[in-house]
Amino acid sequence: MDEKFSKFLTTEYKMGKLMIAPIDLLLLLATVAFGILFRSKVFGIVYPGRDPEAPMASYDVFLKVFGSCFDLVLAVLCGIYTGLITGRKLRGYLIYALTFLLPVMVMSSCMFKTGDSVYLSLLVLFLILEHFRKKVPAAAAYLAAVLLQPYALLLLPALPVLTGGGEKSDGRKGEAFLLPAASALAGVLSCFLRYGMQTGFFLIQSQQVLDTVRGERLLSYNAPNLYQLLGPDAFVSEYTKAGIALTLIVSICYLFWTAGMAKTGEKYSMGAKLFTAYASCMLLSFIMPGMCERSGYVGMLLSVFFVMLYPKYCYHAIAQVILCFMAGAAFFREGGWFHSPAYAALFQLLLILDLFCRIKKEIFATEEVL
Amino acid sequence: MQAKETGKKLHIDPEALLLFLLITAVGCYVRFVMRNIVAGDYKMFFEPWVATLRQAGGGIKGLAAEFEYVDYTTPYLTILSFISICPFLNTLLLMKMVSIAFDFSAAFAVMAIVYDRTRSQKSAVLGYGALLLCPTVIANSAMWAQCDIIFTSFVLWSLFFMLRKKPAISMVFYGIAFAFKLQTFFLLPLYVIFWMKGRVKLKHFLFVPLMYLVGMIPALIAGRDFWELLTVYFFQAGGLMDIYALSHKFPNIYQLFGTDAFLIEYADAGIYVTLAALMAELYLFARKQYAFHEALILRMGMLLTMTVVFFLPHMHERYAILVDVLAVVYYFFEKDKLYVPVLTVLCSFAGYTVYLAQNNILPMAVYTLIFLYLMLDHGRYVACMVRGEKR
Repeated sequence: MDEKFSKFLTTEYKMGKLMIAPIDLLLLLATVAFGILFRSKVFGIVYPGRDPEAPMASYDVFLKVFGSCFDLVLAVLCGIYTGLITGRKLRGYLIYALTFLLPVMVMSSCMFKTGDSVYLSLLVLFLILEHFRKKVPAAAAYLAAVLLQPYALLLLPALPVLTGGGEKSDGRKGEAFLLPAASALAGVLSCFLRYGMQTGFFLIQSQQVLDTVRGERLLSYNAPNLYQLLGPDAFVSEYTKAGIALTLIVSICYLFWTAGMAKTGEKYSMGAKLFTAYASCMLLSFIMPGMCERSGYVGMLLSVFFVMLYPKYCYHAIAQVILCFMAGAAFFREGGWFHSPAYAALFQLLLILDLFCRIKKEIFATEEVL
Repeated sequence: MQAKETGKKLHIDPEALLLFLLITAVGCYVRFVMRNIVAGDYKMFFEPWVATLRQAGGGIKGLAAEFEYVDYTTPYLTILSFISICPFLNTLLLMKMVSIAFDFSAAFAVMAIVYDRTRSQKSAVLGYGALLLCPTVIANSAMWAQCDIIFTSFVLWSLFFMLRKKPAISMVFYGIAFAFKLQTFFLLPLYVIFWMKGRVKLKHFLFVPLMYLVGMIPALIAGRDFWELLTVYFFQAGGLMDIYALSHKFPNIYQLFGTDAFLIEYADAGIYVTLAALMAELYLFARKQYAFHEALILRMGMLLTMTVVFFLPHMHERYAILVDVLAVVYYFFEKDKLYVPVLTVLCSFAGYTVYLAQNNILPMAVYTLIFLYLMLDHGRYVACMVRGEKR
């Protein structure tokens, strides 16, 4: 009987177009159940300085529920994308489960209530649509993500490779810059909407509430980046200007590199594409001033996809999840970071060096073009 | 040197015997020199408990005593109750002696497991010695007078019989271990995998509650309430004793982002994170078909137990003892992996040092990172094996 039952659990049955085993269904359903229970436990946490005993405004409840629903959407999209790039549905199911139960996403939706999963879902949708070569809808999804949250721009320098690889572009380098240029414009528009027009759009309004909580201007708001090593509160104005200039020049150089790759018109592997995207996010969020604790989400998500293709680099995804969570926890914890954020920043730097000095060589060694 | 077996008769290797005697002597000596160390737990909990049991008459009668707070099950309280009326030696020494006896039981279990695998008497004796001289094992029983080695030794015997494909006896031992300590459940996911892979039947799991009920008998004879005895673990799981910190000197995830913030919320959420991580691992291990060999079983056991103690809130310094002993056993299965037991015990012992010597030499976060590295190493090994790749 035992053998029959365990065999029943792992045998695949046809459900519509999909072959699925009961144990897969169990995982999918248990994920939703655990995800809801998990979120319910941190639902009551409020921003530092606010009275935790005071009843939560229905607006806040709505934001938290809304964010949680989009967490599920994000998990489904991540599962689909992982299945597509790896060709293994088991990994897709696992990534769906892990994404929905990821403490970082739970923190984003139920503690920060900033609905980051909305723009992250759009980013993953962009990757899926790109996978199917649906150029226009993909571009629309990306631009919408940038409009919602400028952190989506961290992906910008990798866009030529993400959108160009696999198709002959006949050497028209200008095309490679089209989407990045439009994204940059959308980013500017997004910032204008946020800080210029005082729009009532709920997610943006929530971001504004978060900004007012901070009270002071810093070079880094808990983000484990370069400025945690320099000291986030020294020479704020000067370092900000210098940092922005540095970020711009690094972005442009990166963009030229990826555009050069796209221009060759050769087919790049998904691994090379994801490497370019992940490395871009890591690098820019490390050198850009004014980054907050949630700036690592795009990089974290891309690291998960990246390690699904290269499991031996799994430490990258694990480190990104832990660093993102540590940064978020520092915002809510009285007294900030439990350890000095410089340790986290140093660790992040080591990961970046590992990416560019070791992993890049290994990944591109198998590419035909380089 | 291989054991010389003729028929069923086993010839004892004199070198192995000498080694065994030497190790035993050293093991006893090390424990002897630590006999007078008194830990805070003894003064705060054990001494008052034993006094309460003595006041109630000791022995079986003593189990009827009403405690202000106690979170131990009947089997260990029975031992304490008999200690309370013992006319020889003092309570501390008697408590330590009981735990030390189980140190030897655990060491013999390791010896049996290693001998079963290697058929080498010397390796088996070295396995025995490795466990007997393992720093966390010595500190737990001989310094701290704790009883974690009791349930650990039963779990080791359970694994021995499971590896010998005797599931019923294995589950009896697992049940006895459960009757002593709730922490036995840290390894339960491995037994679920055993079931999925056909090594054990569902009916064998009935031995777990059965052994727990058998363990309750002395207290029932003394007149304790059945329901109260049955729900000791529920009280322990939902207890308020440990809620002042998310981790009690144990190098887990909470040492990275703070053990002192959102004590209720993070603790509740941590349970779901643990369940989620276990669910993902169990799904991966159960879904695929692969060769289920001993080294893989031990690595899986370590990974699953480490997952629990890494994410679960309120973990104490001592709670990774199961991982320590599994790591010691594992070394004798793959001898090029010496770093596994060394780093595992190092991480575990860090908490002991902080508690027993109030000496935090390295920040706990360093040990957390080493612990995380070990988990990753186990994860990569198991994932490769599950995928059918060679490492």
